Amino acid sequence: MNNTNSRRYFLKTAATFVGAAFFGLWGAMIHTQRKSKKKEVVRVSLNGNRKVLFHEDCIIINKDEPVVLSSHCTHLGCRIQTFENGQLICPCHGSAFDLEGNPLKGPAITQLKKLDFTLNKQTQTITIKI
Amino acid sequence: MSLLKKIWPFSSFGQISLALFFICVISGILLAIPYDVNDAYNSISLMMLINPAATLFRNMHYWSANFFLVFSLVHIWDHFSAKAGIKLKSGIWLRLSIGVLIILLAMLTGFLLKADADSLQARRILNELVGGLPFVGSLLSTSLLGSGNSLQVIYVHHIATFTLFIVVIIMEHHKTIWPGLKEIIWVILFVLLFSVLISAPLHDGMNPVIKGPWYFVGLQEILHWLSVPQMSLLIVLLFILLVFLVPYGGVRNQFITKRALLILTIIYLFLTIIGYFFRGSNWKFITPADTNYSYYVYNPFRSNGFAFIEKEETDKVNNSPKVFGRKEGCLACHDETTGFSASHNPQALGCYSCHGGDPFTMNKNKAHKYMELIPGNLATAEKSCGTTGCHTEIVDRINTGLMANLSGMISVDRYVFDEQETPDELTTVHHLGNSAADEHLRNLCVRCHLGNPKTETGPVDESSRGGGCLACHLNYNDQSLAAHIQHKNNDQDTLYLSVHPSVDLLVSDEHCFGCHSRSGRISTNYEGWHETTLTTEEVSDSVKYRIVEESRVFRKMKADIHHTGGMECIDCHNSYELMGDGTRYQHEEEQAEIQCSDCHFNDRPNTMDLNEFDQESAIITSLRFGFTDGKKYLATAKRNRPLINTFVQNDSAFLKTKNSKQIKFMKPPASVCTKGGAHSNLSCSSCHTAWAPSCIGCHNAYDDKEPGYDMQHNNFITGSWVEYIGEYQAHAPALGYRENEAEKSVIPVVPGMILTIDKQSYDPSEKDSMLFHRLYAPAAPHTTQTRGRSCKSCHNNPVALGYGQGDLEFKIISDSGKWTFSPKYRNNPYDDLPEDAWTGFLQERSGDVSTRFDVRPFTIEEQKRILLVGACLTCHDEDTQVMKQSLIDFKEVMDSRGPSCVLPF
Repeated sequence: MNNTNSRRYFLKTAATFVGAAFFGLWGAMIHTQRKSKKKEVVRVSLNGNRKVLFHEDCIIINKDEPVVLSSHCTHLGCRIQTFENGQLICPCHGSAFDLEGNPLKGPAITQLKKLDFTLNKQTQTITIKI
Repeated sequence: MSLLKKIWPFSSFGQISLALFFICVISGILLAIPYDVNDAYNSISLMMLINPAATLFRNMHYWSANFFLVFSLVHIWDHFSAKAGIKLKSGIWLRLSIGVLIILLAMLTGFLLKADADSLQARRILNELVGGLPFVGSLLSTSLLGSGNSLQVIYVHHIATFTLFIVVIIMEHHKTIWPGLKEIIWVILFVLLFSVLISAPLHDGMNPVIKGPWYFVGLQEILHWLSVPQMSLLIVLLFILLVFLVPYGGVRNQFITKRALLILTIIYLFLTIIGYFFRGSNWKFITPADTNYSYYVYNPFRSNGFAFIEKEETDKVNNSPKVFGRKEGCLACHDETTGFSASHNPQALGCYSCHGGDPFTMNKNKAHKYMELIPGNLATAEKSCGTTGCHTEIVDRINTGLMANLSGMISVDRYVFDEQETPDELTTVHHLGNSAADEHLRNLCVRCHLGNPKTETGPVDESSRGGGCLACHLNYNDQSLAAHIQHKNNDQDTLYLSVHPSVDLLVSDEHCFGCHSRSGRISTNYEGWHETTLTTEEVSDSVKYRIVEESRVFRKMKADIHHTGGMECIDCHNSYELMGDGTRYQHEEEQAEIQCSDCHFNDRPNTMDLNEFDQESAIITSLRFGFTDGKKYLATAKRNRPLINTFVQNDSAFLKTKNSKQIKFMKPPASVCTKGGAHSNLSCSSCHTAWAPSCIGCHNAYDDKEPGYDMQHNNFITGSWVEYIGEYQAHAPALGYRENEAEKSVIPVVPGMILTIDKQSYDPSEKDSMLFHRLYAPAAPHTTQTRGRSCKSCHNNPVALGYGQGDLEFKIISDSGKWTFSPKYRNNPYDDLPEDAWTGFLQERSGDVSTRFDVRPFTIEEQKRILLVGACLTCHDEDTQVMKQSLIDFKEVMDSRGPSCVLPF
C-alpha cells in the first residue's frame, strides 16, 4: 500500500496542520494581545527641582533640555532606581550609566533607551507614553 | 551516598520528594484562600501580620517546595550512581529531564508571586531573558509571564501548568502519586519544624540588595559577568542535556557525562555561595569584614512567631495605611503618633524605613527586636537614613567629611607628639592606635565627631556630641518634648510615644553648639561668648556671663555681625561642607567652601540658574523654598556650588535665611578694602575679626591614676592624659602669612599649641621626652565685624605682628626713630621667646612654626614694612589725608614726606 494512503500518514499530516494552526493562532493571540495593550501615559511635574526623577518605567533627567530614559537596564531589564555619585546604578548586576544613558560600567554595554516625551513649558510638565 | 542510605530511615529519596510534593500541593491549595493575586505583596504582608495559620501554610509551602527541589535532584543522582542505572523509556526519561526545568520554573513562578522587590526585578529579568530569544522570545515571554503588571498568567502556570506537568511525570515513572505513610509523617514533622522556626522570605522593600531565589543566585552571578545574558540559557540547557544523556552511551561515556554534571554542579554551588554571601547592594563584592555585612548580605528569612491576635488588632492592621505596597505592623500600634515632618510622614514611609525591626509581625518583642530606636547613627545609617530611595548618596560620602573623620585634628595631634612627619596625613577617628598621641586624642579630643552615636532619646543640646544624622536634623518642640518626658518616665513601658520629634531641615545653631563651643569655639564666638577660667561660684551676673554645661563660664563679648543680623550657621555653610562632598580634605579650611567674597563683591558675581544645580542642592532648595525657578543664584568661587539661599536682583545680592526666611541685603566690600593695592593680599577675616580666643602655657602629662574617659569607645577608664591650662585670652588675633600654590594671603592666627608634652609620663621607656612646641594655627574665629580693625590694631600692635602681648613703642630720640618692645610675659626657657609670642621682635622664625606647613609668621622684612606704616601712624591719624593717600601710592607719600618725618628703618 502506498505510504501516502496510510492511516498513520493521515494522522501525522492532520496533526501537523492542526499543530501549525495552533501555533499560528497562539502567535496571533499574543500579537493581538500585545498590540491591544494601551500605552500608559505618565505625566510628571518638573517643579520639584530634582535633577533625576525615577518612575516605574522611566527616569527623567531634569535640566534645560530634559532627557527621558527607560528605567529598564539594557543588560537584563532590571529597574534602575538608584542615583549615586552622578551615576545611575542597576541594583541587580551593578551596571552603571551616566545621565545621558551611556553605559559606564558593565555588564550592560548598550545605552539606556531614550523615550519620546512632550514638555509643557508653561506648566513644566513632562508627558511620556510608555 | 551509601553511608547516608544506611542511616536513612526511608525507602528512597524519590519517596521523600513525593511526600514533599504532596505537602507542597496541599499547603498551596490552602494558601490560595488568603493570597490575592491582584494585591499579592500586601496580601502576604497581611497574612504575616494577622493570620498566623496562613503564615504557617505559606512557610510549609515554601520549605516543602525547596526541599522537593533538593530531594528530587538527590533522587536523580542516586539513580545515576546505582548499579542498575536508569531503566526508563527514552520518552519518559526525556520528560523527567525536562521536569528538572519545570520544577525550577514552578518554584520561580512561586518566587514571582510574592511581588516584593526581589520578585519584581526577577520578573523583569526573566521577561528580558526569554523575550530576547530569537524568533520565539516575545511569544514565550508573554505566554509565560503575561503582560503588564498582572500576575494572573504566572499564577495559572504556578498552580496548573507546571504542577500538572510534575504530576504527570511523577505518575509516568512512579505509577502512583501517593507517598508512603512513614515518609509523609516524617516529612510533615520536618517541614513543620522548619516552618515554625524560619519564615518564608519576603523582601522588606527597603533593603537595597536585590537577589533571586537561592537556587538562581549562582545564575545571577553568571549574569553579572555576561554582557549577552541569553548565553546563560545555554548553561541551563547544557545542564538539562547532561541529565538526559547520563543513561546513554557506554560506561566510559556515562562516567564522563556524570563527571561533567558533577563539575558543573560544584562550580554552580561555588557561584551560589559567592552570590549569596559575598554580594551586596548593586551586586558589589563584600566580605564579612565590611561594615554592616549582615545587612548587605540580605537575609529575608525572619524568625517566626505564631501569636494569635485580637480582633481589635486585626482591625487596626486593616485600617492602617499601605506603605510601599504592603502593610506594616508598626503603623497598627503607633497609629496615633503625631509630630512628623512632611518629608518623614509615616503614612507614606512607614516606621520601618527609619527604625528597622520586623514590620511583618504584631508581636511587640519580635517587632522591636532588631529595631534602631535612634536611627541615623553613622554606624547604621546605611540601614536607615541611607536606605534605598532615601539619602543613600549622603550617607555614602559623609565619612569623607572632617566632621565625621576628624582627620585634621588627629593628624595635627600626632604631628605635635612627634609621631608623624607632617600635620597633613589623612586618617580617621576609627583608626586610632595606642600611641601617646592617640591616647591623648582618645582622652581629650575625639568625642566630637558625627560618628559618635546618640544613645539616648531626647533633644540635641549643649551637652550633645555626635549623633550621626540626628546631630543636626533632630528637632523637638514643646509637645514632642512633653511626650518624650512622659514616655521616658513610664517605667512599665505601657505608653505609646504620642508625639514624635521632627526630623527635618531646620538645623539651628543649637545643633552645632555642643561640639563647636569647644576647641576653636566658633559657636560661642559667633554668639559673642568667650570662655574664661572662672568657676561658677565666682560669677553671679547672668547678663555678662553664661554658664555652659553647668561648669564652663563664658564672658560676654561682641557677637558676630551675621549672628546679630539673624543669620545661623547653615545660612553660610552648605550640605557639602557639613556632610562631606566625597573628597578627603586634610584640614577644615580646605573643606570649607564658603568665602566672604562669594556674597560680598564689587565685581560681577558668580551666578547660577536653578537648572544648573546639582541634584542635592536642587532638592534642598525645593524643600526649603518651594519652586524657585527663574532666579539667579550666587555660586561659590571655590567649587562652583550654588548658594541656594541667595539671589541676585538688579545687581544687588540678597540672602534669605534658611530657617526664619528673612531677606537680607548683602553689602559689597567698603572702598577701603579694595582701594589701592596696599591690602590686596589680606583675607577679609584678618581685618574684620573682632577677637579670637586663645590659650597659652599649656602642659600635657599622662597620669595613670587619673579617672578618665575613653571618648572613642565611650567608657570610663583609669589613667588619662591631663591638660594643665595656662590662661584663656580674647583679643584681636595675630596675623600670619599663608603661602601655597592657590593662595598667598595674610590670615588671622591664634596660638594653637604653645605647650609642653611629657611623653615619658605615658611611656616610661621614652627618655628625655619632654616635648615643647610653639605653633600657631590658622583661625576662622567667627567674630566678624562690619568695620574692620583699625590701622593701628595691626601696624602698632605686637599681638598682630606675632610678638605676643607687651609694649610696642616707636621712640624718636635725636631725629632718629626706633621701635622697642617689652613683652608682658617672661621668656620661655625652651626657646627664649615670650610665652605668648609666635616670633621674636624683629626676628625671623621658620620651620616648625605652625600647625600647617603653609602658614608662617611675618619675615623681618615684612615686619619692617608693617612697622614702617606703624611709625607713620604714631603721628598721623588713620583718617588723615596722608594716610588715605598712602593706601593708594605709599611710595609717593614716602617720597614727598617732610623733614619732620622720622622713620625707623
